Amino acid sequence: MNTRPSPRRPLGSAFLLGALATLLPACGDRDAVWGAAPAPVIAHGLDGSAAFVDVGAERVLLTPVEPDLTLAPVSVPVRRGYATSEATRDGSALLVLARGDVPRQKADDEKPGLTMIAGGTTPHLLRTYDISDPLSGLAIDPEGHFAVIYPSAADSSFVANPNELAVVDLATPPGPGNPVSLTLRSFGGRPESLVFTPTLVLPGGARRLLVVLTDRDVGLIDLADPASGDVTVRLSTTGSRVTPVQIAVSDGDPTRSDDARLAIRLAGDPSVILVDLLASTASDSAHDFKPTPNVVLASGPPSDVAFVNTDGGLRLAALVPSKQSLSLIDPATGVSKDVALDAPYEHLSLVTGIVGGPASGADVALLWSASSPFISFVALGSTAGKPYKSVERLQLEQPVARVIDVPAPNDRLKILAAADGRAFFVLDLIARTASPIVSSAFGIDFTVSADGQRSWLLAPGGSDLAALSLSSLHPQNFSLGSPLQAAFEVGRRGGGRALLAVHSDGDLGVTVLDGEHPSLETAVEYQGLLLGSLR
Amino acid sequence: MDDEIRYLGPRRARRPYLREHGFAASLVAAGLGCAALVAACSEGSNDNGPGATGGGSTVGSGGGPSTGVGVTSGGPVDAGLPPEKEVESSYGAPVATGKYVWVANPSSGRVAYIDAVTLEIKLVDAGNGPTYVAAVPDAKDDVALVLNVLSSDATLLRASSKGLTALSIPVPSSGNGWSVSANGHWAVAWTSSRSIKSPDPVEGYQDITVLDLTPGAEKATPLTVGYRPFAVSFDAGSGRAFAVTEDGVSVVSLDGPGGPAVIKNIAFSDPPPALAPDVSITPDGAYALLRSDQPSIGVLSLSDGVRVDVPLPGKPTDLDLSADGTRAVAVIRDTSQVALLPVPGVFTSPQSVTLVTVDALIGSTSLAAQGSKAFFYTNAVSSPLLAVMDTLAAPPTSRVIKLRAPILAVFPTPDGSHALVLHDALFDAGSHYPAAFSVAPIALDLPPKIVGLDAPVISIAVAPAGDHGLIATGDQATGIYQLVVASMPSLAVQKLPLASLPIAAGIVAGANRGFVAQKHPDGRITFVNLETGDARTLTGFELGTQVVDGSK
Repeated sequence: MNTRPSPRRPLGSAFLLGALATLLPACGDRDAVWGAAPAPVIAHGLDGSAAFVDVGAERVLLTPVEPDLTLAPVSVPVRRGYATSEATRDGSALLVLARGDVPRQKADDEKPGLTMIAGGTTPHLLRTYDISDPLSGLAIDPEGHFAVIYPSAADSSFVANPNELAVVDLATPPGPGNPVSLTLRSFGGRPESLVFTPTLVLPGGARRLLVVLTDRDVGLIDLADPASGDVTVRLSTTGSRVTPVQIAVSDGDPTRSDDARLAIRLAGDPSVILVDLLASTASDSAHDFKPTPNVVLASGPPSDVAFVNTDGGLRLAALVPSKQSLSLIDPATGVSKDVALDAPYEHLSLVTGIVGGPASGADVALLWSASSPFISFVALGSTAGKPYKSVERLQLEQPVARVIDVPAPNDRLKILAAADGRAFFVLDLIARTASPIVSSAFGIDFTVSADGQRSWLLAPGGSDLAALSLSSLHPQNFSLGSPLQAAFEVGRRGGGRALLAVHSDGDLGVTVLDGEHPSLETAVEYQGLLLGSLR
Repeated sequence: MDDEIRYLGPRRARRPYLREHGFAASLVAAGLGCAALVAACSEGSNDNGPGATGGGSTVGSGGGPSTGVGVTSGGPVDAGLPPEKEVESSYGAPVATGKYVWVANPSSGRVAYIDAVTLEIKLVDAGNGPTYVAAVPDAKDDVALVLNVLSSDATLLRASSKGLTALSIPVPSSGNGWSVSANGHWAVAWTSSRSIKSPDPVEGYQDITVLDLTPGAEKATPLTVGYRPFAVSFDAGSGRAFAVTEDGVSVVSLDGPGGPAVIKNIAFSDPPPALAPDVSITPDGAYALLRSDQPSIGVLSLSDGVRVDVPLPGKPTDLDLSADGTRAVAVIRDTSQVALLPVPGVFTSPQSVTLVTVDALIGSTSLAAQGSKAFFYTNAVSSPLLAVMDTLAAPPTSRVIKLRAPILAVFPTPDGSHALVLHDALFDAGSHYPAAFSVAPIALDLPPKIVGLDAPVISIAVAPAGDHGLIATGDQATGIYQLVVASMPSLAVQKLPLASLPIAAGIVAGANRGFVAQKHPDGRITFVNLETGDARTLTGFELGTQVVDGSK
């Protein structure tokens, strides 16, 4: 399992659609927004609708799609002082964080809050969690069970504690114990990124951890009991600053409770710190696990680390571009063996479950690089004299900037985006083929449908849209009437799929196409969508 | 408590002459490297060490660390054959007490205290430059003593159910080793010139410091002994300590009314010998047995200085004393004979020596710590023959076991039912292995098992229970580092890769774990569960203390 720090802003799933030009004078009982200054609109794709956070109107407009491709907009109010919003990874919910009225001067001034909105084909308000402080940072658990609110650089209170966190259990309603506020024990650092681990079998039972990376240490919070506080793993004994940049997680043997561990990659350092989560013997600790750090050494500063299974057991794989090698480190003994590579690969993804690993249970890793046009498949078994079974290389036309997963049933595919944003490669992990897809425009953005059948490509600011069948790799091009900013494929009421192409001009236009059989002949176009539901 | 590490090295009296063998060279390199490591070279745990006096008395090492194997040539030199090489403790290492391991960090001034089962690490501040660690026997607590070489003091560390305490005690003499009495009441910090390269002739290293470790009444007493001590031991009652020096044996009264004092010096002979002999002191402190280049064994009364020479049919090339001190075993290589000397009877009846001729060339001996088994071999020439004798049998006879490679050293299990045998001159024997060892069943007449090693041996440890042996190997040139675990009586062998060059191996008997300390700037130690074979490595001991639990 490899988990990267959560970005502070969602990538690829939310779009700022520009200011809503509503400068008409206020009169009668019109909504106050008519008299408000222009405010941005942020768009998200959810499971059954697109969501548009209408900041000026303090609401979210959700657009489920009827079977006939018409929209059935739903407006959900949110609190004042929009801070940020993010959809859960599966699109089942949207979370909108608001700072409330700052400063609060009257009893009826709004408190800071986190609004949770169901993202299906019948979107609705699920609940709103009160937050004690007006904070702007939001991190969502990839499994959608937790959210963490933290101070971001945008928070500019007169006095602020950058180590305050609020942990929200999204599965349970608001209450005295939800959210839980806590302050990280700090040794001078502040949170830089957050990682939610998968479930780990720890000495006290199965639970998940929140890993907080600061610029100098790592904090661990038991998500089953966040009020018990954090356990801080300081990374230097000399006072020199060592900066953690990545966390890899292994639960080890699921039948054992003493072999879960983390790996902490450090910036510009060949050392990787392994943290074994062993049983705590301290009677005065609320935690039943004790992090036991351990230093292992890669052949150079790694650019990516992951725990992998080999037929020799669990290993920490550390990709070292400067040495063009992959260090395989036994976490139990620290013994490292290097796999010589032929390119400075910087990233690795495990693809074992897709390609079907060898009978030994060893993993297969896909290696790729933003500086070299090669990709490689490394089978992590071992043969005589080598710590790996095979390294199979493919040469592309360009280095790879990004790798996008494709959901089942086409999960044997990965989409590799070239750095220029113009070329793509559809990599078939089983056939080991890489089919180029080329656009006439640069800076192409694309999404992959939840059913794994197609990808939607557009050049933000342009009016061209394409649907690429991931089965046949046949592209279908469309030219829409106005510039596009984003596209979201969602489930339709009554079944089927719809594509919502969002236009960036004016007051929010949307073109709705049939997702499975896209055609402009059946498309439905909306303009002034935001205005339509205002009084 | 000291038993956990008692068997890491031979218990014999040795004269550590120049190291002169290719095998020795790698060991020396490892030992020197150790001195620069965070995991400090420890010294002077009980009854290990070059030049140590043997028998059942508690003996400290000077200069030589407490575990591992080193090679020295032993005893007076024959005209025809090269001297026997001695393989014994030469390397710094952590020490073990109960289920814990103590490792000093001279750079940070801290000592790490590691639970071998939970791998929990605790740190305690010592003085400036904590370097030499010794385990202190204690019936209740885990106790270790560390010599801080830069602040000329010692830190007495006591781990109990109440926590870890540290007490600073001045050690004006400083030193490079410890000797600790069997009852844990006394420790002596002293300097072995034999671990100092090219010592100045006017440096006598005659200052020692005696520490009274009685809880609540700890006290240091500086004393002066003879020129260049090379071993310090105690009598069984811990009433006297003996500093074996080139001037003779300096006798220290420990429990006199005025506190510790040097009460006499017993010269080896009159006139003094050109070279100090190989010395073994009986556990009761009554006699010292001397081996020199004469065809005899000297028996020196430590009460009045009377010396009796026991004639032998040739020059003894090795001498060892049984753990209970009731018999000495000398080897006469020229005649391939073993001389069994009853102690103390031989002092009054020099003719009471029993001579046994062995049907093999022998020059060295190793005695099982708890039994009556004695092992004989030679490493002066390539010889694969190992002779085994029950020294209490009447009449004593030997059984010769043919191994499959020349013998370098023998490490018996405490009861003598098995022996780990290091091999030598493998290249000459046509092998491509740089090293090898055999596990030899002794109690049962079964064939030994030989195992090729991929790197030279650096350290050996035998579990007190005699059921496991650890062989740490390493070669910086090839980057091959391994810990080999031999199980007995199954003779199963497991090879575990290590991440860096081993310094020393040891056993944490209370935890049923083996350990091997390794070279690493932040300190590295690998623990192996002797039952399951699972290994776990800790690197960066001090990092473990940087975990802060916010719930406390």
